[in-house]
Amino acid sequence: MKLAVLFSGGKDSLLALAKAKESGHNISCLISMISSNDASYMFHVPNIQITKLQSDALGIPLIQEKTRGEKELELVDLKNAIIRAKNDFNIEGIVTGAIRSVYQASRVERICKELDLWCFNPLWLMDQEELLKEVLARGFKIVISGIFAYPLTRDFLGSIIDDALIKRLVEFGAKYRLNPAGEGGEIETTVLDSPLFSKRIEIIDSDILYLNNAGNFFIKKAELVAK
Amino acid sequence: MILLISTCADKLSEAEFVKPIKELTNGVVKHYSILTSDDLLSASHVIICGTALKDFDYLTGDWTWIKSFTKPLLGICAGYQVILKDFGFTGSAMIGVKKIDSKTDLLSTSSAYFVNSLQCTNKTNFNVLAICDGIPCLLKKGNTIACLFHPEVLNTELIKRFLLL
Repeated sequence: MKLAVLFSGGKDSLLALAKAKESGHNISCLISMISSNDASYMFHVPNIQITKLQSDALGIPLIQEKTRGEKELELVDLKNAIIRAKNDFNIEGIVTGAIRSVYQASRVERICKELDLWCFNPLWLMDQEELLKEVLARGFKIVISGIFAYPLTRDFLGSIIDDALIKRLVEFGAKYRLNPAGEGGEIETTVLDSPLFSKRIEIIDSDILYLNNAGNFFIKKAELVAK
Repeated sequence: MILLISTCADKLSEAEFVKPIKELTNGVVKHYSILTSDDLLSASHVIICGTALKDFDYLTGDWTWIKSFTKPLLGICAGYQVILKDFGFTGSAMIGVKKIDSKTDLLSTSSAYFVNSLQCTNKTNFNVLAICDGIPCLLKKGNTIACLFHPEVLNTELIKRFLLL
């Protein structure tokens, strides 16, 4: 089946893509929503522009659609992007990296129903520690690009996810009811490399903005380099 | 042994609709198209899992065994549909979290997550245990339970209590 992946550039959408590919599907394009609203209900915001480099590294065309990120209205923009994917790439379905958000999942399901498309959520209800361990085992290189919850501190921003960091997140999860993989919006990530990439992303320049357990690691300049 | 019957036409859907039930129950998964009478004989409980909204292939499968099956059987979404298909359906999409009115100890929650486009009419011979927007969404007859919503998302107590039957 020809599918489009709703692609934020984070670990979940890339893992969903990998699982769809392994099931024998053809990933015809990626769809990234560029939201100007930091508090978007639907879309990942930090470093979304990196999806262009990831698209090149994956060798999969990218549809980028701008949205003001206003609640519910952003769904019209998403629907338009999916219509573009349907028209330009003849896709038959959509893949998402939704794990537990019934808000996001139900809205994408509705759009797919309206457009007569299949909807796949291969990470649905996945244990979040298991998910973190799986992306690491698959060789994803993932940087933490946003934190938005207590007790996450500045040192998380720009860190690469490894076993020690997963252990800390899981401990925080147990103690502070934080979703270790960030499904509740506590953490945003950006994938810099994976076995699916033909080249890796090298960060040339970056900046950190942080205040009171919230902040972003901004990738200001990056490029693809040979592995 | 808890038998989980997959109704998914596409393997990718099993990650979404079967794997979460498997993790809750530690059940053994079998696709409906290769189900044997031995599978049913060796099961203590059977759960027919859901599938993608656009998938209707399972409706053409052989589900005749359900009528004479007396062990605990739970049909979720697609499973609800194969249990109740002889009574006919109405067809409008129900997607998202909705309030439910229930009168059963099987549930202790008042909302549920729906992803379906076929619902049964009020003309079944099952007891209606819960309704949503006037639609029977949880029904029971003997040891057979038909559940229109996805209890693995917001109502895991239903699955745990079913396994005690």
